[in-house]
Amino acid sequence: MKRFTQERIAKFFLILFGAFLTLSILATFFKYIVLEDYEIYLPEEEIVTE
Amino acid sequence: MNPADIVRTDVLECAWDPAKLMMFSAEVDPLVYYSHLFPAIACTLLALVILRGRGKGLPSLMFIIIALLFAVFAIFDLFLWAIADPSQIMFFWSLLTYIEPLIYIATLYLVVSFAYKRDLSLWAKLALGALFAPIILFGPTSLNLAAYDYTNCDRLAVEGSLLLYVYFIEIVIVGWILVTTIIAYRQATEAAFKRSIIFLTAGSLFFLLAFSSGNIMGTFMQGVLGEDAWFYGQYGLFGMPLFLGFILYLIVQFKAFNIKLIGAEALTASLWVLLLALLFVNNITTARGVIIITLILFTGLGFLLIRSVRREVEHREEIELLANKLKKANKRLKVLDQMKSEFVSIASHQLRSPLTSIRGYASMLLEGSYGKLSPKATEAIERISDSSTYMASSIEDYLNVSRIEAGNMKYELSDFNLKGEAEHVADDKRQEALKKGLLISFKSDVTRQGIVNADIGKTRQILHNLVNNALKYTPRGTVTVFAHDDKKKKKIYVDIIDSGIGMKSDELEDIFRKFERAHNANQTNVTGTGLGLFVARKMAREMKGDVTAHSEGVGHGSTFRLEMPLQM
Repeated sequence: MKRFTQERIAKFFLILFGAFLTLSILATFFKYIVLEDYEIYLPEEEIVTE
Repeated sequence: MNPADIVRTDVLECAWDPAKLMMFSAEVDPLVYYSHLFPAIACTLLALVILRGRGKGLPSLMFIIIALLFAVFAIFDLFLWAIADPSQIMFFWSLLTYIEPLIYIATLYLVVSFAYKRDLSLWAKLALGALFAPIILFGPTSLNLAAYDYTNCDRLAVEGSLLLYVYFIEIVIVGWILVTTIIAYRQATEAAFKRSIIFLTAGSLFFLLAFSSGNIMGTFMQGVLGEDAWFYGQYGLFGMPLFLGFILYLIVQFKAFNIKLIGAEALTASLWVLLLALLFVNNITTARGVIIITLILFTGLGFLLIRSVRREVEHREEIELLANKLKKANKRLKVLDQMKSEFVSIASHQLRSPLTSIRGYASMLLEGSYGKLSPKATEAIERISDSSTYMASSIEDYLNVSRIEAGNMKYELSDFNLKGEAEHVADDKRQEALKKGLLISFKSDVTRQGIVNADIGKTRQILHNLVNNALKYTPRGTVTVFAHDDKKKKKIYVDIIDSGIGMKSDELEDIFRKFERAHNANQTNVTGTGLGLFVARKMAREMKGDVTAHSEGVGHGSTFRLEMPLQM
């Protein structure tokens, strides 16, 4: 009985862990690929901006 | 400055050959392909072998996870070498922060589940989850990657303080692996298992440390060496092929992961992967280094391959030799067995025929067919008659045992009333019992007709054997034959209950063995072959029934039960 409960708790946390991990990776995707929200250090003298 | 505002093509100084499939670019040193694709392909192949070999259990699953995570890590890392788009570089680079500790966690899981042969405890799982939680939380923030550094055309991400936390997790897990495997090693009793724990732990630690050293080198030396720091760091990926070597050794030598793989298969596959990896080298300077590595590994693996094949050939020759010997021995045994059967059959028939005439003439003498005998002569003839009857029944027992063991016993099944047969046997034995001063009675509690489907002759013999046994071991008192049935279980039982010498509970099964008699049988001055109960049980079981014994202890009598399935 105790073992059964522990297995259920472990499964619950695994699902929770997987869900948050997926969300976190999705957030990373949005941050870098969609929003391109990051700082960039450039060789100043050679950069031409529009 | 927003990256979207940059017109990358105008950065003439940092011109970059666009990568095909995000992986193949003329700008990338061929050694990078070798260091990334060779370990990734090798570990994926081994994961497929384990998956196809239906490797069961947690360790197999964990190895497959490690291999896949590592392959993904190597491919993403290769993207970073080949692609020019800063956003893509930042994205894949940030994902490495997730994958690296996950590889560590899976390796810990692999080692612990292998060494303890069980899953991690709930607390350990929660601790690992808690350890990883900050990465989930801060992975998408600038704590992971602070910025993209394009100043020296290096295309590098500036790593944030989260990477320091990743290295902290790695140290914790390496310590965890060390401590738990030392404990498991001490607890293990089997020498081979102890050795396999050492191999797996050593391989895992070597892999993890090599893997980390590459990344740590990249992180901390980036400021000094720039992109070169990562170039030297890639050698850390070679920890994986060595780890695979350890895993293959475990599979071949200790049949780990429940995979059947012979050494030659494993080594040929390793050599194949090694040669395949050479395809990724297209520069003669790099080729020289790679060929030297290949040559060294080829020499080692070739030596192991030759040794393994030689061993397997030797084993086969040994087995062939043994098989030939076995074939000859088997032939000889068959001849001997036939001779034994013929001997038993001839001997018993030869003995039976004169015995029949001895018994016949003794009976005729006792009946007075040859004139009246003196009392002394009558007594002598009676002894001859008793002894020859006993001898005939012993010969019948030996013949039965020989038939049962040879599988030659024939059963002619028919429907008959077992209750009636039990009553007949009790009646038959009444005179013999009276001679010994015993009372034999029959009782019935059978609610139906008591029809069974069995060989009537053999069933009668079983009942005779059981009643004879009861009469033999009952010096005084009574023997009761009690027939009853159980409609629910569809069974009929004949209990032969005696008030005899009884036996201890640990003897109840022994007495059904061949030539076995109760320990206190000798005290009762009873003759017997020790085959009656053996034959009775064998015959009953062949007819889907059984014979069992029960006793309250020495001096408390015994009950022998014949049970047969009822015909409904």
